[in-house]
Amino acid sequence: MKGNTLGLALVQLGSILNEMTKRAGVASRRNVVRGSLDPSFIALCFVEYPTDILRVAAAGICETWIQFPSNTAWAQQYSHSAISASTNLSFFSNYSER
Amino acid sequence: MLDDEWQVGRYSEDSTPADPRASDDHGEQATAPVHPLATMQGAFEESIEESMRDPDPHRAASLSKDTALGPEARRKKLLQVDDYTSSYNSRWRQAPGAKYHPLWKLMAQISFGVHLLQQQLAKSDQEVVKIMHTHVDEVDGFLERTTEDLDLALIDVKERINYLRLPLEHVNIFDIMLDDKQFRTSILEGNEKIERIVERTAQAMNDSLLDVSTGIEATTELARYLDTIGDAWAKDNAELLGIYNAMRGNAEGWYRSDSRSRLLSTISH
Repeated sequence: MKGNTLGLALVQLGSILNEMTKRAGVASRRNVVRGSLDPSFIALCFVEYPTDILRVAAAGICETWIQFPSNTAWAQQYSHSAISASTNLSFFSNYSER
Repeated sequence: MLDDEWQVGRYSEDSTPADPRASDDHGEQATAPVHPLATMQGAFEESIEESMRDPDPHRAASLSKDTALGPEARRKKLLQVDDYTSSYNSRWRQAPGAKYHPLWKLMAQISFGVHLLQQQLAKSDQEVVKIMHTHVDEVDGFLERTTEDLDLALIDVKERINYLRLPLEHVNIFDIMLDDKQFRTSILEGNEKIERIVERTAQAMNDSLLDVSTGIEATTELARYLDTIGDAWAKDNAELLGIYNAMRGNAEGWYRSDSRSRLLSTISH
């Protein structure tokens, strides 16, 4: 009985740990996307690619790139859908105006 | 672990074995007499070899120190040291040359002690009883340690479950908190530590379960032997009769009677 009870408790604890780790992983990926859209970083990327294509770093370290036309409508739409409310959107606004 | 004094050699000194094994090339008397239970012969011979071998003082001191530790200290050591558990099975694993589980050897020694008394082969019955008592104490100690270790492990694991399931009962808040990188890192680092605790506890539990199942098998053999010889041989000697009855009581007790033996009979079923 003791062995069975302990065995079940270990399984339960293992499941809890897995669930917590999974949620931490989801949170991490969520924040990577948010972090990558930091205006200052986008500005940096833009400085490197000041052409007609705006490249936004999705991984925050310029490893993965999202491409979309740099016209005002696309930039505004992307910024509203992907950047969190707390993110400063001034860069996109400024860019669109330029 | 097995008492070195348990001189199977009682036979060699008295040269009255019922059926001694073959002598070696030099004509010296065999060191391994025939055990009354064929199923225990191998374990019995191995226990003799171990007791005749030069004891490793460091190993012996280490085992003695480990068994003297309290349950909290044992658990702490279990979680800190990679290859440590207080179980027989873990010690067996660390002795690659050993073929037989230590509990088999212990029960082989105990049943052989009864055999010596029943056949009146012992030079000193008191000495045999004293040695048997040592072995009985060791089995009792094993049951006590195993019960304590499992109880403490269960308390520890349940406490961790109670703490850790709280955030999962409020996942909305927990998810928001996980957005903080520092918090997330601390959670992941904490989880790694707890995963190790789970792993070490599971390993120790499996070792204990193997000890227990082996203990059940060996105890069953001992009980069967005691049933077979009966108590007629001791009827005229109150002391021997008392010893026989005590051994029967031990065998039954280890298997199912008291709370510690309930561990034996329930833990593996």
